[in-house]
Amino acid sequence: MMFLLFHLGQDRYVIEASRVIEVLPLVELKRIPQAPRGVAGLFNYRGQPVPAVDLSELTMNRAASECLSTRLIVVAYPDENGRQHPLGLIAERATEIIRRESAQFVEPGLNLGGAPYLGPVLMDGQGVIQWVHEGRLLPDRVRDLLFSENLEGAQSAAALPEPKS
Amino acid sequence: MEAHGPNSNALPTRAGAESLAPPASAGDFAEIADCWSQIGVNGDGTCPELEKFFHCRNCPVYSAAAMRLLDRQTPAEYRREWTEHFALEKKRPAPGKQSAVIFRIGPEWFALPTGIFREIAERRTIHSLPHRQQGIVLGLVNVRGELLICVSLGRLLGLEREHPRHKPRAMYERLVVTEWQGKLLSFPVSEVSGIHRYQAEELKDAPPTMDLTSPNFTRSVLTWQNRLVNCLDQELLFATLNRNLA
Repeated sequence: MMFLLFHLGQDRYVIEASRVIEVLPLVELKRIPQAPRGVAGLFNYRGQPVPAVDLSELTMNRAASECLSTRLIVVAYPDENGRQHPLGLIAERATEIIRRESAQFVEPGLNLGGAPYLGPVLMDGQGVIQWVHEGRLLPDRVRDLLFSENLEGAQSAAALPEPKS
Repeated sequence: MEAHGPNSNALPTRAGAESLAPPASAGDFAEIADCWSQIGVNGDGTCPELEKFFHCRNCPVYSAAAMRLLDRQTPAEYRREWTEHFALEKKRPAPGKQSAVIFRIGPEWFALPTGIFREIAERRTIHSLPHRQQGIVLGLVNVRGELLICVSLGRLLGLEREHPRHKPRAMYERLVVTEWQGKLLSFPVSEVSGIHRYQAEELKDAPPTMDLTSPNFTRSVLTWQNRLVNCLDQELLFATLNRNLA
């Protein structure tokens, strides 16, 4: 299996390469006012508006650095009905594809509950790599906000108060 | 949304990663040790790791340096230029529906449908047959223990005057094995380029042949790498070949 490696802070994470539609360089984003934290904005992906989530901001409360190695990973994200939508993930140091077997990943034995996207871990000579389930990155409320089918639902979701961070 | 990001206390940090963070600015790259220019393949080649990696590009030191280069700040205009690029719809050329193997005999390039090819093998000894020194039959070849008739396509097409066995062997020369209506036939070629996919519209009618006395085997022409490739009429070609075998 192939995995796309990226960093959150100093630590290494992977997502399954087969879930990736395309890896783009960092493009300009149109900010969305009052968007939930982590939602960095919208970008024009081949003529289609696609939301982008900043993984550093989502998980560590700081925006990703503007480096050449910071990339925009376009993945297919399922909405509540299972329909797939393109979603951009801004990830730092997304520079490597690695080949590992899924069996090499083991459960880390701790579950913080609040981060359902964190999967099993793999240990190698350089430390620990954690598997990120990209389909569980967004809380349901944010997912429905980004990929809502009807406008009414989107408005009611947008009306929710900002989460305390 | 609650933030439960990666807990850096729970996970060991990568050894040496401290030197990479925070993302370096453009001025910090003077310190990258370019060992590949000193003791590596661009230097005197004395690096002991070369025995293991053969070339610096296989060495983790080299790729780590490349990744550090990518940790530069994005240049001005970078994001805007890429934004424009990815805003455009992707023009994906329709995949070619037809495919042909492109090969060369002497100075000319030819194409035949991929489906009729069974094997592209190294050139090998052609065992000539008594009483068959003339004509298009060159002799017999041994391909995986099977004796196949070897013909000269070049001679049939009027390209080769001399016997190909007497020519010096070039490294590109191949023996091609084809199957037409269940019969295997082999012929030597000067070079095989590979399989080329194309759209049916790319085929152009062949110009009227100059030599009206020989059958025109070129049904259409295909432009490939700024060259004109003769697409051979496989039915006429193999019918003529089989007739000449008798």
